[in-house]
Amino acid sequence: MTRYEADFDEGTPAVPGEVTQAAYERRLGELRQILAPGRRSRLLFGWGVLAGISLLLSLMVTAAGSSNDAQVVITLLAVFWGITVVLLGIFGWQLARSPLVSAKARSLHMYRFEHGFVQMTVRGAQVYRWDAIRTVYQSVEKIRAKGLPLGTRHEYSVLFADGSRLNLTDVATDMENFGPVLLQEVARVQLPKALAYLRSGNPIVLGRLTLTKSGIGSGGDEIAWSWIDRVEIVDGVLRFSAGGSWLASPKTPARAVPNLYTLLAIVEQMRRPSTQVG
Amino acid sequence: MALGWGGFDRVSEFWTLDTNGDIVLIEQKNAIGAGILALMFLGGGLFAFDTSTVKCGSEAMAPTDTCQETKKGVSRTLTYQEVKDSQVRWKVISLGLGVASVGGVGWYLVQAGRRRREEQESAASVGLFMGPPTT
Repeated sequence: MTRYEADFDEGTPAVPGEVTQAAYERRLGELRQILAPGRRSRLLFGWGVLAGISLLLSLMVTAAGSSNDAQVVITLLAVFWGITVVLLGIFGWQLARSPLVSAKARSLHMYRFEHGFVQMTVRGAQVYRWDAIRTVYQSVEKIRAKGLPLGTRHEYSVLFADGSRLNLTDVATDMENFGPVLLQEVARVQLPKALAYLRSGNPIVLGRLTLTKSGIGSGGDEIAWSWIDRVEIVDGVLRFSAGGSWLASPKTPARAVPNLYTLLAIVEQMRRPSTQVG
Repeated sequence: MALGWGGFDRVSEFWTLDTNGDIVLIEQKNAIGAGILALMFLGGGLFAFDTSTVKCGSEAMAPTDTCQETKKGVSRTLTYQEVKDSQVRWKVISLGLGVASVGGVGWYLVQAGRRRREEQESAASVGLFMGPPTT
């Protein structure tokens, strides 16, 4: 089974009627995949470590403060214990909302359909169509502390045609899986219209890059489509190669480029104008 | 899923996402946690080190006084000037951290504003060829 085929097995939870109804009303088509809610493990770990360090500092200040000026000690104790209480409160709040202890949180799945997706939240089913998405910014960061890998953080910021915004992180669902699918579905919907629009002589702006019928540019520099022979993203930077050499411009952080897969597909198509899409 | 341009394999003949097959952006240095802890130390430092008067413990010092300091069981005598210099040093460190924090927040806000403008321009541009959604 590839990742893009229906992804169900015997353990797949039943689809709530609310989801089915919402998907039907917005004409989302066939159900393709059900994704479990994020486990919030890194979030819990992060807040837990912060709260732990803060608690340790507070205990140290309490122990060391007995021989010093009373007024300073009281002020310091108030500051440190105040911060500790807040951090412990946030940690407890996150733990209570996590699938680790909350049955409700465990039931908040994401449902991917042919023409969009439904996110179950505490406010009910939220429905989104791929063709209502205007931009998706993606941020994937490998987190390290003192060289020790602490996992990868995924964040996708989606802006819709009606101006509303949706931020999807690892808290929402398995974004390592859903993130690329999101970019891919947006590209699938946008690519044919984008190519027709470009070939009619209209420009398209994607972040700091401007795409025209003749080429792609940034800040006044433009490379002709036919010159581009490769595109690469290394260490988060998108760069182009022409004539076997990597170009200094346009070079831009991938996180600053919306609809990244749409852009890559446009570049691939525009450098071969005779290729037909679909 | 069949896509017209061949789909998005991790590495195609034409483009490469990353050697690890991911859109790896930057290695985060746990900046948020470091920032919160820095603010804790900064807050504690600002409360603790009042340099308007030179103090030995909780008592104000006169220029002719000396201060007995004991650390890990080892005692040493500090002059008024040495105590004052130490307090000034802490104040400079606190101010430096404060300026760096303000600078960092300012830089973040400028970047966020730029990102918001680019996002609005991109959304408007995409809207021109996408038209209204189906439903």
